Amino acid sequence: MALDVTVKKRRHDFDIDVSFSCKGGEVLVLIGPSGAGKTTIVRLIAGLENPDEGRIVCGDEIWADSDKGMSQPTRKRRLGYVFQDYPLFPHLTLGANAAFSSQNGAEVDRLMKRFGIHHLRNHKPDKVSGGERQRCAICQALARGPRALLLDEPFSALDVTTRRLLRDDIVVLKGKLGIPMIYVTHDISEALAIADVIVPIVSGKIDRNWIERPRNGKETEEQILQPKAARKHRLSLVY
Amino acid sequence: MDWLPLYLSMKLALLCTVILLIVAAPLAGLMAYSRFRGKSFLEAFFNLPMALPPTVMGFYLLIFMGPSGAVGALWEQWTGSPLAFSFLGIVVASAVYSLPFALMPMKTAFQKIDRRLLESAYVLGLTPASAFVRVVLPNSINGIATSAILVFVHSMGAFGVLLMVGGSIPGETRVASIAIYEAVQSMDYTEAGRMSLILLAISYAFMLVMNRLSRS
Amino acid sequence: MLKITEPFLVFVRLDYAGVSAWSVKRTFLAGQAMFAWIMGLALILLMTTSALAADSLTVAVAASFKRPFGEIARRFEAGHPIKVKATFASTGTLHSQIVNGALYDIYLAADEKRPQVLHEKGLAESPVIYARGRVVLWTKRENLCRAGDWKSTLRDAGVRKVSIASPTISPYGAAAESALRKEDLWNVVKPRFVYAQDAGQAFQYVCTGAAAAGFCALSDAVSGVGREGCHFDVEEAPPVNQAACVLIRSKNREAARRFVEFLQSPASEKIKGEYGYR
Repeated sequence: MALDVTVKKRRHDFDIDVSFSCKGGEVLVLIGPSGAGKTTIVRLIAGLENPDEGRIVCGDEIWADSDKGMSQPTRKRRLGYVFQDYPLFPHLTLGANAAFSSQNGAEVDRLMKRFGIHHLRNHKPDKVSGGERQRCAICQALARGPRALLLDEPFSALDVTTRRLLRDDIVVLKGKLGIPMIYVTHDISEALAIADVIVPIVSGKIDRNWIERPRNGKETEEQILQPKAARKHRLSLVY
Repeated sequence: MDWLPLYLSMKLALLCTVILLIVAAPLAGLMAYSRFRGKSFLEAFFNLPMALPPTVMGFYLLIFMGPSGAVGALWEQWTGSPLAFSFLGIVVASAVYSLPFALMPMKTAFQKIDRRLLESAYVLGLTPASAFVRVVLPNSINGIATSAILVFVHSMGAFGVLLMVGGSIPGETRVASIAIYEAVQSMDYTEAGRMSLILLAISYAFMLVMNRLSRS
Repeated sequence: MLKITEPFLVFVRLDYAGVSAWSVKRTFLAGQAMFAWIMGLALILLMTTSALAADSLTVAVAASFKRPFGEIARRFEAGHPIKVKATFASTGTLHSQIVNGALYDIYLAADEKRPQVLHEKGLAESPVIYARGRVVLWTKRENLCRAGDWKSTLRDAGVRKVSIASPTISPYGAAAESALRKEDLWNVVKPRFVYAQDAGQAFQYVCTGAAAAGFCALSDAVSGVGREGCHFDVEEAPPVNQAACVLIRSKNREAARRFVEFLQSPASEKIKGEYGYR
């Protein structure tokens, strides 16, 4: 099951024009400088904004097709979206948040235990740490059994240790879930750690020279974080 | 002391508050979240009762609700009894008069809510209507409480409109504000003073209760 | 040194950036001249108003008497060097104002009771009756106009609501009540009553169609709007005596007394008659 995305959108500073595809069980990382349009692209996939032109297909479902003039509303696209600043519903406990769109209480419990926040299920979001909130956001997104998962810089507001731990969770998750996952970040080491495909976005367009398929899982973490590793992958930082 | 007008005032204010909260919430939601042609005209129209002097409002309401008016004639056809000079008539008049006071605090509270909460709700599969009920409303308790207070207090004190539309019928439309005015007019200043004090106390108590509720 | 219009250019001058010493001095002088202008104007205004005060009367008039009062006041001004100013409000409202210190010269009420109360409190001179009104039953409906008298009109099944000025606060309402009680109709009609604050509002209720018929003042029934309907005289009702009094706190009691006298003169009687008063 693959997620095929081709979108064009006019913005006030530049135009977005991208096309990529993410296979099920793969993580596709959108990387690039701030303001390059990565978040907009993810919002277009989610249906929170509409492209001027384009086609978004997930598996056998057409989510948007400008030629046919159709666009599924967000709620009909069964996807999960983890935002950057974890907007959990402040009036609900973590447990209620995670179970928000799921009828299967057992599944939600399982997820929460898996992410180590089951013991916090009766706490309100403002009483727990950022990392715990973000884990709850992931549970919330997954509880629905989504067909695709979108993550927009989900860990950028957390400290390094928590970030690493959650990153590892994502890596484990991708194998287990088998759904396409789109991950937005501006952190190269994060991208290298989890990506199967890296798509650099600069000013709304893919810079074709940069699409790389890094070797899968052979590098150790230290190697990945070495500047040498960055040079080895022929990726340069353009900020 | 005559307690009937005070009881009527309370009944009127409570009914108005409940009705307006229910009616104004979706309207305020529309004002806060949708964009359509002529939205500013509609908004200004709903806020008109604030700009009109109450007696003018009451005069036009009387024409509409009277037996020869558009609304009043229909009402009489359906129910067989007139709308003007009935308790229901003054509830309607009060509700129209207090509508802007219900709309504005709620609209402001709705607009203050983080858009990403709503987007999160949509992603999780909610329709805009259920997102409004399950996400927006629970996070706007303060705005809703403010609306409730303003409508209640405004209805308790409503005078000009009810003077025109009510007919001061004891037990039906002779509310406290009118009874106080009539007491003053007939030089019974003690009665007027007593009723005014109790009216004040009731309004104050309601505001206290609302503030407590919204804080918790 | 300064031209006559220069003071007014002070406001323009204040916008200047690079200012020389000489222009600063000029601006300062212009500012002083402006101040002098304003003071002068204020003084002139003050003198004129105080000059007017000596020859003017402020009258508190019951709102129902507004239209005849306008004509009577103009007649009075034409023949006397006194200006007449009026405030129109309900009798009760004016009464409260006077009791709480409002500075009127004369009080024209729509009843006898309130001027009497003021007199007993020592706030007014002895009241005199300046007009006699009558209560009538007025309706706009053609079919009701064909009825014989006010009693049969009330008995009509199509009359769902009857407006009456609240008897506790309006002499017209009280007069209507006494007529109804005399004819044993009070309890019969009471369930259909809509209570107005005064006879004028009772009339308005019938005008807007909210009430089928109402006990109104004759003066309203014979007005331009009133003539679009028809009225029935309520003979059983006592006349509504409207009393006036000069207030003790007035600064022009002499002039005030002259006006009250004029209210009872033949010229005024004629005007009052046209408006339905006797």
